[in-house]
Amino acid sequence: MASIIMVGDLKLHPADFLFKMAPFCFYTLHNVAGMMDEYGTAIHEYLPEPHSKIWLLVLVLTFNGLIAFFLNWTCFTSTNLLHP
Amino acid sequence: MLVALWLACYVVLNIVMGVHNKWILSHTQFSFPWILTSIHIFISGIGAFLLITLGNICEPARLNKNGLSRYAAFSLLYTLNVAMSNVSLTLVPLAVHQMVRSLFPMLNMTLDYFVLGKKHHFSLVLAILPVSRNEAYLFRTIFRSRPCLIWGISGCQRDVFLEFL
Repeated sequence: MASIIMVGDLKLHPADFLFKMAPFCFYTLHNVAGMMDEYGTAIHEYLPEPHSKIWLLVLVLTFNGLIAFFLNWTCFTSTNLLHP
Repeated sequence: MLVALWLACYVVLNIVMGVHNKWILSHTQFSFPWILTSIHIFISGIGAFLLITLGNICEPARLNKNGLSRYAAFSLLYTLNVAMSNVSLTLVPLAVHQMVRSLFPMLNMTLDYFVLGKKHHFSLVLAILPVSRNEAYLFRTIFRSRPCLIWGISGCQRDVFLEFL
């Protein structure tokens, strides 16, 4: 699909595409996570935990998010390079 | 050469991402794939925003209605792909997850032929066949012996990399 859409006039820079995609997708995922009651379960599971454990989890998730950012970046850059 | 470097980075990051996601979803108490995917998108958006505003890496393009609708649909599809990948990681072992993902080139080529009427070069089809063979072998021996498992996995990764070359 990327080779069909991200070509010609619609070819965006990877950063630009991520910047445009993120708010819409985050809103969609946030709603789906709410419908699946993941937020409620997460709050109930982690509220009684000690603060140090929660901060460790935040650190791990941030690192995971950074890997995801670089993965998305390389994916879109590779697509742009393979379909000039 | 540059393309090969970016593809190599993509392959490595893909593997690291899969392993790290599996570790978070299985070995910590954070087994919430949809929240995890939303964190991925959130941090990706923050990173892109910082690169554009502080790094001046590119000028944000203006899209017309047609372009916006196409990108919105593609964004949704891409996000669903990532979300389903994370959801499946909570249900199956990582080896099965990677096996199924390694079938994607063959599935893509089949769909290209029957849905889009696009024919791929015979050499590409030939390159995909060893991947399928390794997948079948790996599936058959996954719980039998560790040396066969390691051979199967290394064969799959080698074949996928050769396909990109």
